[in-house]
Amino acid sequence: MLLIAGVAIAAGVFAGSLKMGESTSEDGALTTIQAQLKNSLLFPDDFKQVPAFSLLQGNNKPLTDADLKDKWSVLFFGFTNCPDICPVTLAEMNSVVKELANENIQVPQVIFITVDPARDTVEKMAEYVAYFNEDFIGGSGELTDITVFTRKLGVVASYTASSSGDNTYTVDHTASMLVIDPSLRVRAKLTPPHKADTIAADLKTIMANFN
Amino acid sequence: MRKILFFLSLWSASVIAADFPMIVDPVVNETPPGATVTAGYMTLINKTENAITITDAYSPSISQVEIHLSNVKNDVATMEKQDEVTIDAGGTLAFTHGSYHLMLMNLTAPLKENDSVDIILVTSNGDMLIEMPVRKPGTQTHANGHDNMKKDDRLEFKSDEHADMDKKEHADMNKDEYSDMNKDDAAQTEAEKNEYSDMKKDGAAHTETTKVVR
Repeated sequence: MLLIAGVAIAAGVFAGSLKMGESTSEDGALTTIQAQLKNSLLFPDDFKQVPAFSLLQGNNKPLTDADLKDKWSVLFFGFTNCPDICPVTLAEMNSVVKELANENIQVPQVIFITVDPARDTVEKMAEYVAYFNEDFIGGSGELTDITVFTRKLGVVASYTASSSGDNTYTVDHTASMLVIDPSLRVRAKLTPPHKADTIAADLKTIMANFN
Repeated sequence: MRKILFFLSLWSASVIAADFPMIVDPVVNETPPGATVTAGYMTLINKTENAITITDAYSPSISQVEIHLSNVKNDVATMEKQDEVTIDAGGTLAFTHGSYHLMLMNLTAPLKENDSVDIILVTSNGDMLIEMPVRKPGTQTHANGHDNMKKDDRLEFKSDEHADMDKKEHADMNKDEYSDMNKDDAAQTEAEKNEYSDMKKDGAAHTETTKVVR
């Protein structure tokens, strides 16, 4: 009896350690890369794909998942009535792309999508992002499309009436930026505080390790 | 009525000059096209022996100014209107990216680099006027110095540490930026002293306060 139990336990442990061995090697690879990142969180290979979406960019050109294919992208969500976080983050991203370009490293496209389409029209978004960098893409569209898109990506936004009581509202929104690879996999998130040299270093590491 | 209040506040400001916080590196972010809000930053240093409270802010040229606190919690960026902020006796309060800031709202015209915005802070010791120059976003990060600190340092930043900036300890920090910061702040302290002695002499001189010293 004891012998059978002993063998069963040993077999269980052996099988368990085999399983652990498999996942450790994938985790091991991720862990190694994660350790090189300064302020980003890496996701496993099969974490999430950018879902199909249909929004608009400047001049009412479509902005869809097809525009993310075969390129690295950094996705950021915010609104133009944001005085502090959004403008400074976009200014930092401008420094990031300049730094990468200077080092002849491929530059990801930067896409800023509003979670406040009621106030941020397509034209307003296009003008706003162009101020930071002419290559940045500003996206807007129907609120339901944006909400569904952000939900699927795990990005949140909520609307709070201003305490000034003047019918204005502010928008709380996810602070991290998402890094999308050329196959539309959500590879990582760049976590706040957003600093240009840290982001540039992390993007270099991420793009070098995954393709 | 606004104008009368404005000039009255300037007069009262000149009379009670001595107990105001010192304002270092005030700056307002230039507005991207179409934006109707922007942020104002500065460092406030309270060299008096009592806490100073700021309960309001307004501007003759901007219809709505509020004090807000940015925060990131659980990866969500939020912003909360503050009814008041307090600078402890001998302490420092930073209005900076990711933290307290002035929110300038309902802008009817864009603010361009090298413009200047007059802001009146309503303090527990009277109203004080500050002139805030407009700069491109991201310029503020070195000016107030602390954004160059490592993330952990910044989270642990307490107001009384800033008051130690004049002391040697600060110059012993490893990064070059910090020995520069020490020099800059000594220069600023001198400039501020000059500003304040001017203020006592002549109320009208108060309108030209707080030149930005870089």
